[in-house]
Amino acid sequence: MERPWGLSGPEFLELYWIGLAVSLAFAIFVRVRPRGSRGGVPAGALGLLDIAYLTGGPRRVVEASVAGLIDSGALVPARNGSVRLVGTPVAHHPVDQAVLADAKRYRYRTLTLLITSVAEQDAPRAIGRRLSEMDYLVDPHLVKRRLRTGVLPMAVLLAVGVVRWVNGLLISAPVGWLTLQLALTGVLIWLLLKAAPSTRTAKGREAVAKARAGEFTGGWGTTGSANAAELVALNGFDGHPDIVLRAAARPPSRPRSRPKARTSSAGYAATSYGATNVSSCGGASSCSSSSGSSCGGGGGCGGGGGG
Amino acid sequence: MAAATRSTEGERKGWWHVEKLGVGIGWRPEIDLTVERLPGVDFVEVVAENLHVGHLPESVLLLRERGVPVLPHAVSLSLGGAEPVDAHRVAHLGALAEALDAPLVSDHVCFVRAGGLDSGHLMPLPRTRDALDVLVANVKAAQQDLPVPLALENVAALLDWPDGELTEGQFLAELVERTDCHLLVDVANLYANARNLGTDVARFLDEIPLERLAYVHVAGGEENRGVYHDTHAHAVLPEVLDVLAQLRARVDPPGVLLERDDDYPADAELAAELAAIRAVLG
Repeated sequence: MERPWGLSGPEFLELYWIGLAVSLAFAIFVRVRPRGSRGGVPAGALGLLDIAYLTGGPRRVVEASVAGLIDSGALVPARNGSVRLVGTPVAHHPVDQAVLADAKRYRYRTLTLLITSVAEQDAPRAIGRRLSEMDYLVDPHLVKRRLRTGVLPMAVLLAVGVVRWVNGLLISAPVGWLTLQLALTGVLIWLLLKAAPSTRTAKGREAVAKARAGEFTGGWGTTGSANAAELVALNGFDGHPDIVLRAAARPPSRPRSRPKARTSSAGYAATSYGATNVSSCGGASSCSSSSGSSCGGGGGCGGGGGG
Repeated sequence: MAAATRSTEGERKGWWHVEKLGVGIGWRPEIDLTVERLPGVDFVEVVAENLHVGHLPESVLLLRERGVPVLPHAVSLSLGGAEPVDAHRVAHLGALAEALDAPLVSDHVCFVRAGGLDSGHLMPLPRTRDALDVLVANVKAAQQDLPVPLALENVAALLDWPDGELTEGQFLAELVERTDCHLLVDVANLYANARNLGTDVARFLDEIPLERLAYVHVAGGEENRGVYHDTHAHAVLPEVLDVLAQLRARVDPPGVLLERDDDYPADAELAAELAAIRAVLG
């Protein structure tokens, strides 16, 4: 039996397992270490949207903002999952401003699309940057750097294993177990790089725990005393007390089968009578609403004539 | 739902009177949750052309389950048109009334198409006896195929056709006399006509058979370049409520409905308008 590098096959496999275990422990340590920062959380240091970011990132921030704006009446929801802007509300927080601007642009804005769109804007992400500066979150760049550092030993181990594997092929040695080890190593590296670690510091985790216990406002997250925006900040829209809104904020599920062609002629709105899109005054009718609604606008039901 | 009953007077004429509806609001998909949650909504009205009998909106069904009357309001029958009434449209309206268990349905005293073209507006009719004959024939044809009573609404017009032989009130009164239809009086349209065409509100209210009143429409509008537009997208003017008060001084209407079709305000604003209507009704 040949002994490349002075090691038999089983000896190399054994050493590889040990190396893999050590490199995995190192990667985990590096992932966890950034969260070790500790410090007291002063009362009132964080607002609702800060807590939302800590619990769910930028998307949760927008969800909490939307819930607050619905609470205040600036946005009004409908059953179809859309919201409409009422009047010209003034918001002071940049995230609220971004939400209102998005809603204004679309008149009737699908809630899920609004949340997705605004979550990608700078306003909610700026909260994350501020929380990093305040040591509630680990700087995302630092997290990425640590992630790469964490998997480096495993990558070196993989490279060594690949060389051994190629050599094994060249000398016609059995490489079945080594192949499995290399595959496992590759999967581990992929997982460690892909799965984002919780970037909350210990201070951030403490802040969330306090918020859930209601220590900041005396009400957050406690049954019956928290408002909708607070509940959404802690739990997302699935935590909204209004079941209709919970459903509206959920992305529509994909139909499992193709819808059957409709043969009914029951409806008039968009069928044979040439209605203008969803206008109520279907087809032939009266009212030139621009809203998708029944009668109004400048026309048919009004001024000019109408009902 | 048996919301239409015979009274002694009505029995003599073969008329059915609408039971009390209360104060309501036009249901629109954009404000479905608002309508569901507004306090004191006694009934709602849906635009018939927007609903499919087999696919009624969840919100509308919910309101029905609560016992809120849902009245289909059509805008496309073109009853004043020279062409025969489209039987399919009437059938749809009737089917909707049955699906919603509605006590009555309604459309407008107008035409909306001619020669294969749709106007996109509720066009006023010439108030001549010939036009009335055409309207009466179409209304009777529609009534034959409708399972519930039909109410007809006065429209807002920007012009009066020349050579009118009847006032608007006389025109409607004769329509009711000849067809036994109900009336849906839109006080905002009446106000618009008073502003734009000089219609005498008091005379109109004196001339129409108020005992045949099904319910009343109230809506907002605005003046633009000297012309009042009944937009359904603005707040209800006090002047429109004054017209409602004039009507109320003559009759206790079975129902009054707020119409809002665009630029929907805050829920509280709609609630305030409903409260203002209630205040006028006393």
